[in-house]
Amino acid sequence: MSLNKPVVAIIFVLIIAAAVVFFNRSDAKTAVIIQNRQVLYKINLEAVESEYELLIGGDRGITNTVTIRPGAIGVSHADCPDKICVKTGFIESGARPIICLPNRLEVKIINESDNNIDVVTG
Amino acid sequence: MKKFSCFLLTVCFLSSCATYSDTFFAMGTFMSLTVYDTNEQTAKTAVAEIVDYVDELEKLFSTRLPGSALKRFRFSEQDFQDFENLPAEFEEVLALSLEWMDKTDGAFNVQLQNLTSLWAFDSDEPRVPSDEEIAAALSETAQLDFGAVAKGYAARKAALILESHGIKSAIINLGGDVYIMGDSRSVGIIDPLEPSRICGVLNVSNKAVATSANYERYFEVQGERYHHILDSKTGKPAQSGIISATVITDDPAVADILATAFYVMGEQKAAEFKENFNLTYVDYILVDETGRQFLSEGFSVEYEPK
Repeated sequence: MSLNKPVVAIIFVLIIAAAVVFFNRSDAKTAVIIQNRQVLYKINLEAVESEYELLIGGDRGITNTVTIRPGAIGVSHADCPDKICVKTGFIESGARPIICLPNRLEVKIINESDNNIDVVTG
Repeated sequence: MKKFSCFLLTVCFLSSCATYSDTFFAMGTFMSLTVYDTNEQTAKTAVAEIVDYVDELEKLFSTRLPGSALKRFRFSEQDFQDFENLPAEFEEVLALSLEWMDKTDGAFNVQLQNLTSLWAFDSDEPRVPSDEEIAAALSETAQLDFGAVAKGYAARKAALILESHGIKSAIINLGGDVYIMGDSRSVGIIDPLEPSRICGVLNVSNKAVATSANYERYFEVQGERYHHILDSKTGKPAQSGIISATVITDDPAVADILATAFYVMGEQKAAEFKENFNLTYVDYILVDETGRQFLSEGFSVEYEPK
């Protein structure tokens, strides 16, 4: 059985394309820490081996302690008045972001959608 | 033909089919906009216009900015006579608010600013006021607070701005007041008993979704939780047994208003209210203290509880 050249070429190209798509998938669970519309940190949560903390200050005199764990991220301490960020707890998916309004801080997990949810309300 | 479709795909990829998203701080919350299938320049222009517009709205509706139209407004005859001199947006929100305040028998209420200050929910030291203090605050001249309608109204206006730029598919999210424009999207509802999870997923298109819940703005004294949604009848946090109320309807402002109203009313009254006013265009999901979910009669939206 012999295949003609164009068919072989097309199959070859398709295999390469599939391989490129497969290996370029950025499915690592990544957390981003954003303040005043600027990305401060981008953290691959799957590569975290042991817990550590980041202190996020700002021009409003407020400090948030962001704790990073393997696969999860949360604000463990904050000296803002409402503590909504701390009450949100640790997040493990993109289902909802953590927000500290007083410090204009947003912590969220990207490329790990929870059942492909586009947006949350609550 | 093949070449041509390849070409189209490429053009689409490079210029017009991009997704653009931006998050900014406005009206005391994070506002995020995601615009689909539009070229970046159009999306940027539209979003910039919304940022400016929402900023203007905040100047009208703020309870903090001393010069806001809201701060200056009193329920005096003079102010009502000057009604036509008020900015159109202020007039529109006031009229809408008074209409629903009347319909909901005060469950939705824009005259609770005195009480909100008394409980000091947004300060460093929120506290439980005495019954005398509450009675006094309830009898004082009402000061306006559009907190339970302003974000919904802003979302309504934002949608109109996007439309005026020819944008057909977008997600507008104003701190949980969501509007889905065009293509169908899934909207997760935060589980009020465990806020890092979701308790259900809606699939909607051209709908507003708004939720009022008790797990964000609250404080605790001796194990008792005091949340920020006040009942105008008691002057205290509403205790209807419902801890999260989500409303799905066409208009974001109405969704916002009714989410608060249903939270205060509770399951029974909300059902009666919907029937009495024949609100066939309104769907809701209420969650009680045990996590039980109540869907409105004739629920018409695709929904999967989790």
